[in-house]
Amino acid sequence: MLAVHRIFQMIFGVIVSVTILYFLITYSGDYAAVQKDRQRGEILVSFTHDARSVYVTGISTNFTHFSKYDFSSCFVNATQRSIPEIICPDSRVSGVPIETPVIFKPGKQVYIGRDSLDYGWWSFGVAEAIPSATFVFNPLESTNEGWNIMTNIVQHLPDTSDDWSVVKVSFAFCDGPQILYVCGGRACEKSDFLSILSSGPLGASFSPCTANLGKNTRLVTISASCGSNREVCVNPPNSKGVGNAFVEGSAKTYVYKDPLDLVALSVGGAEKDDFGRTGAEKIYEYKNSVHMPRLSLAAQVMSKRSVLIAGESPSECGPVYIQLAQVLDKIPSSIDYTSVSEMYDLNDNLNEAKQIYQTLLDLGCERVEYGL
Amino acid sequence: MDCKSTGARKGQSEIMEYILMVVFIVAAIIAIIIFLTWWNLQQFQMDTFKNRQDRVVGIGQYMMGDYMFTNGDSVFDDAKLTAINATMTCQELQKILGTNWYVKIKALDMDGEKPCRWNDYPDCNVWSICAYKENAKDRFGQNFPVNVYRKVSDKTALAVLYVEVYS
Repeated sequence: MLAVHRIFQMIFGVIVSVTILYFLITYSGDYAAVQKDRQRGEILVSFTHDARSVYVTGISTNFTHFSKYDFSSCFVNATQRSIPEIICPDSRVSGVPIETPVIFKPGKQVYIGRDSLDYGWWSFGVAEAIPSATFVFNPLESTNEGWNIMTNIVQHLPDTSDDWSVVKVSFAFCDGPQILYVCGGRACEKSDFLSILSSGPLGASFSPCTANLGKNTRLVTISASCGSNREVCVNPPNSKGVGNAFVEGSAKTYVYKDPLDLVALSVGGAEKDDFGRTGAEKIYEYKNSVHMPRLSLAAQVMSKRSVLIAGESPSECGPVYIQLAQVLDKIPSSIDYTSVSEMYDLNDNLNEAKQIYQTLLDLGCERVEYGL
Repeated sequence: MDCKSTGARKGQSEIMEYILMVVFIVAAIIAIIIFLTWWNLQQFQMDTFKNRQDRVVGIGQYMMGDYMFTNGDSVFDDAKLTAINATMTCQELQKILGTNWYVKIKALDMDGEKPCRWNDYPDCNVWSICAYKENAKDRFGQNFPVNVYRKVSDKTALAVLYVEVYS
């Protein structure tokens, strides 16, 4: 027969063991979750560092750490109050600040490259972080405008033909049920596709794309009448370079006035998140939220600079500087990028300012060319 | 009676041993937890320091890479810096670079420090962006060697970019 103290030992042992075990399991679970969150945070911070380095140096890189966890829901969100943040709605780690302008589409591996919009007197730099993708173009009319749209988009996407790049961004056409791989039966690299586009439309017309699109395929239709087109559809621009674009599943009309708007829409695509927002909408809104205020500020600074140095410059330069300042002063401090008429005026002023700056370069008053 | 009392004592001592062992185990577990928590706190403190350093480098690099401040190749433009001081409020730049920072650029082609206000240009060599706060806490600053392009004299001067963040 068991002694009383043995029974006490057994009961006490069971209670203590269960308590300790429960505590240890809970604690190790929490500890593992904290460490996982920490790693996710480190990965996002590391991404912001890489994006910044690429933005500053222009040296492209692969970012492969996203393969460790699921970052597919992450996007960069810009607010009016503070600097943009990387938001990951399905994760506890979110809100990592990123001051570098970046067009970001998450993937297991992303290629980070630098791109810029040159205004002559200023350049808007942006890092592009995108995963492997094939951009499939479907130009429904055989026009130079349509071909120019494709050229503009392709020019502003990264060239991943380097051997070291683990991400591949490639290009193809779509005609009806077929995807046309026009580079020897394969999707084209950037330079090859640009040389095909440089030969112009040559009377080629395509039927609306009905082909099965893979997960990493981005369809861009170019048509004067975007009705029920799939993915992203772009109307050719008017003479000022402003046009409308549409995204499948979204009732909004997206006004574009520069190639980066089209890149943002094409890269984002029509895929929706849990809140019904398309990838295209998120990247387009972010891009303009960081681009437009910077453009306004740069115009103000350059205008003041022109006035400041007009009196200190050679006599032939002074009046041109004043002219540049007057044009730049027309750029509003708050730009509504959704307004077609405002974008007409903006592009008008930007083109005029670019021409005046070119005059300053020709006169030898300025010697810096931001990619003119 | 003796046998019974000896047995009870033995039982008592076994229970005491048992409780003592449990106390040691619990103490060991608590010690491990305290160590892990302390370790994590140390990591967080190091992260905080690292983040501040990253922020300083980030602000410096951003300014060197933005044509609003430079004229290409990370060379600051003295006329642009003077224009920024004349046109921009700190709040406008804080929307781009966040809050609680201060930047000073000093060109080394002149003796002393002559602040670059609108009327002093081009005979000046110091640009301060966002006000320096005397009573700010947890300051962390770093100097970077940079170049400043002197527009009027068409020369490039050696300069120091000082970036400071605080809380």
